[in-house]
Amino acid sequence: MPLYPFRPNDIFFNQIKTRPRVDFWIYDTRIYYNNRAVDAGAFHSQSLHVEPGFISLYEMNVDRNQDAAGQMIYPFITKESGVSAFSTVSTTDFNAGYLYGEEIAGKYPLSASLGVEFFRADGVAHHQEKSRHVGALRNTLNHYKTLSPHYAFSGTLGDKANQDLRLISIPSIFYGSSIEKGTVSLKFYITGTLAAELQDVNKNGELIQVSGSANSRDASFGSGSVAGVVLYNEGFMILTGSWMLDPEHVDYYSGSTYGGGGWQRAKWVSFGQTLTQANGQSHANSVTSSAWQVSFQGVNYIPTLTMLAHASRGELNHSNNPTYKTFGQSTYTDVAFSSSFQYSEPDNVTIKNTVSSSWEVLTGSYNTKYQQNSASFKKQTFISKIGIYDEKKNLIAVAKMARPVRKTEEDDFTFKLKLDF
Amino acid sequence: MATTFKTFLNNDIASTRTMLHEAIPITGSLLSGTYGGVSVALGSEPHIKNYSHGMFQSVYDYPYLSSSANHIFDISIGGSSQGSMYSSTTTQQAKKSNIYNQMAQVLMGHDVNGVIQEFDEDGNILAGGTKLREVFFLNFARLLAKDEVKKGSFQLELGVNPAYGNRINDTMYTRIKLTDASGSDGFFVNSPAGEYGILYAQSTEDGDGTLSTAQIKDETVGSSPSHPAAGLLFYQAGIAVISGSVFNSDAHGGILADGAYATLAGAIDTSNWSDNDADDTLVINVPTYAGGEGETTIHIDEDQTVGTAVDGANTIGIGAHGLNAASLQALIIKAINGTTDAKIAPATSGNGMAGVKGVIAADGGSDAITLTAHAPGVAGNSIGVKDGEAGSGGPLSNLTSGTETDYKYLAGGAGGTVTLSSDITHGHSGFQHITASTIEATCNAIRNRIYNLSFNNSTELNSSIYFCRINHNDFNYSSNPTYLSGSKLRVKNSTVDNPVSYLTTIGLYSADNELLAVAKLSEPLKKDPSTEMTLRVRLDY
Repeated sequence: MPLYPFRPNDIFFNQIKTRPRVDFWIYDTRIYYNNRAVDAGAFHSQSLHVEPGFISLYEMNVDRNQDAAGQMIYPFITKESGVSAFSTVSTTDFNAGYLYGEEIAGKYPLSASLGVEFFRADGVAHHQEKSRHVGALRNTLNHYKTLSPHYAFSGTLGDKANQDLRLISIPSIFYGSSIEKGTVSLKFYITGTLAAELQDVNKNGELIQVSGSANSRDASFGSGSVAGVVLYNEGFMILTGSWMLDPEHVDYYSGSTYGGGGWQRAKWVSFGQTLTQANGQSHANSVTSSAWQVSFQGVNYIPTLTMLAHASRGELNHSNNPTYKTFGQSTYTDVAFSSSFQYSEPDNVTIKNTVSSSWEVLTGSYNTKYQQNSASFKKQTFISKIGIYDEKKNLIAVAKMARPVRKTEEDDFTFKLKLDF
Repeated sequence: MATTFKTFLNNDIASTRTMLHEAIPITGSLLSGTYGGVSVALGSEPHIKNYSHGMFQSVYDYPYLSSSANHIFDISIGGSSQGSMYSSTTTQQAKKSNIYNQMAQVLMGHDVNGVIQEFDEDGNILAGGTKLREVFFLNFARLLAKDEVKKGSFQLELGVNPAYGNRINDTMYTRIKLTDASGSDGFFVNSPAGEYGILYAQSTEDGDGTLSTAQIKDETVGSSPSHPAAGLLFYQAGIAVISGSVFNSDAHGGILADGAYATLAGAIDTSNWSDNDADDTLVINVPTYAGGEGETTIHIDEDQTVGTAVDGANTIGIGAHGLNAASLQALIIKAINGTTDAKIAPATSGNGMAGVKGVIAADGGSDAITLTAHAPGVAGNSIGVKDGEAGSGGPLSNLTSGTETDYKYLAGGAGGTVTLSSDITHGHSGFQHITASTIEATCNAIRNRIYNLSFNNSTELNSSIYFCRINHNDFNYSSNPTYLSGSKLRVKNSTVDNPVSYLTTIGLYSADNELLAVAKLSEPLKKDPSTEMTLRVRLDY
């Protein structure tokens, strides 16, 4: 098997920029991701053991009876001197809760989905979460002030610590490296009609109300107004728009924990209200008159290694495959000679002629016809695989052809091998 | 871009290895029965993928047309050309041989003459010994096996009830378990495919919920030295090679205890029969796990001269008018064995449409009938017979030692070669099934015998730990522009004040100062000349 080193111009690295389209629908008690329906299994109401708006990392457990003992796949680490544990195990638990040699068990599925949280202006009910979740974004928001003054955590356009605020958190598994600027759209539907839509039309993170029935009303219904901002790299959307989107329609938009649970007008800060909130708030009254859509494109980079393997003219024209030789040659010609003094390979072994002819001898039996169906001898091989070796000649990868490529002495091939990471 | 670099010394970098495991339980119902249910023929279930080449079968944990489905394992069978079954293999002989050779050459390699080495029962190749020549393979998906199967964690429990019975449950009436119990310290390294351990078999269920009767020949329950070797488990390759002997009794070259048929001499006695008696009924119960179909009633009708389906469903009618005891005995034998007679009317539906399944009746002498289970094994001990009528007399008078209507059970059933599928027309018992059946059919049959399968996998996590040691006089200043205010250090009010900085990020650089990795702190750490610290940066890969 011949080995050829890659030359500098035979290997190059680049990356493919992909833009995964992401679409979340929020309605009643559920989120739906990319229009995935509920997939009920034989043992569980969700075949992947997560709601349709969630991604199950690894997807190891599929339709198992999770209520019965010993049915679910789970990860574990044995407590050893390496003191490794899952990040969910605190140092105190690790030290006091497990003996050496004992299993530290985790749990599958690990899941991720859109997180929606509402924080009140006065901060009374959830001031701690607001302080942690919104406050943690203070520096990040201020960092982007140069793009838009609406990013400012506190300023002339409002103080995010002291206003009604809706925080939408998007795990990076949904978008990759960042959210593509100019692709964000948030739609607010009331009784099936698009009441309003926000888009980052200026690609500067401002979520501007651009369409919907609210836009056909007077300016107090928010046409062209900025209702929030997007943190493209961090995967957050913050909505602060508190104008009415419909002058007549009311529902439990602020949940039972706010304002005594009474009816509220639809506002951007009500976006996704019916969910059990990511911060643990739950609401006795669900909103069934509205649906919400969050859509955007992610930016995801796939590092790619491209290798060019050359099969030049006059090379790779011989095979060590036993079938490369004509079968049934005498032992004088196809067996190596060895004695006490010498070892010599046979020097007159006939190579099987595999060159096909379009001309057929139509005489004789069926077998005879095909035995004679060959043209004049020509060296040719069929390349079926390319092995990639490291500098120590360890085989580290194999590329296989969809079908073997015929190579004659005159042919000059370059195979392009691509490896995505 | 950092402006201050500090070079790692030898003691600043350490490497560690952590083994992350996953527990993988695979229940038998996941392999057969859940998807499609019993109404779908084995092999046609939506989570089983068969191929036109017919050389193996892929098993998924969910209907494979769904994107949610995970591949669990491939299953196939193989037979060595040196094996006793090879010459009698009439179906897919070449394929079975080729699969065996393919697996053996990858997993066991070649000997000094270039001949493929067969699977060795005890792993000691040089010593020769018993070879595993008729085997089935479970080739686990890399998703489940990961880097390797954790040694000592593999368990495969197989149903070895000889009767096929109803799918899912009845084949599991008696069970054995294969484990690589010695794998953690008794594995072998003489395979080109990595390490492998021996799978040892032990009984786990003898039919009554309390394990007392060994299902394996010469086994002492609870004594590991008496557990025979029955397969190999290749840890890194993630392949289990199971000997076909797990389905055969000792007499058929297997590891299971030889079969004994449950029997009851004089189970039925017609000597007290009188033509003037009233009608009588006889109830025979053969559970499905004993190869039967439940209770079947034989109605002995004193008024009828020909067979009459008096009760229809589940009842065989015998026209007994004018018969003496010997004649009635002969008719009952025929009724049980399903032999046609004008005086016998098979059940119109349900049980008893072709005799009483799972039991054989024979003349026991003196107008008595001996019942014997159709299949060997302890399940036959559950076959019972009773008089359906209260009161004494009738053809079952010798069953009245207790209450006449109590079941009297057959006894003495034990061990036995299993029936691998409902298709027993080939007449091949146990793993001889492979000689006349396709690979696909045998794989279906084996899947139906898997009660539970579980193992733990291992993934090796390599970590490099970089100890970034910060001395009291290091990193007390910042090159951040905001560190200065009006050409003065923002943190110093007078010249004697100590400088202060906040560490937020650690950059790891190559020898030529290329930034390779960045570690970020969850919160900035205050650093001044009065403190020293070591930050531990771990890189997993």
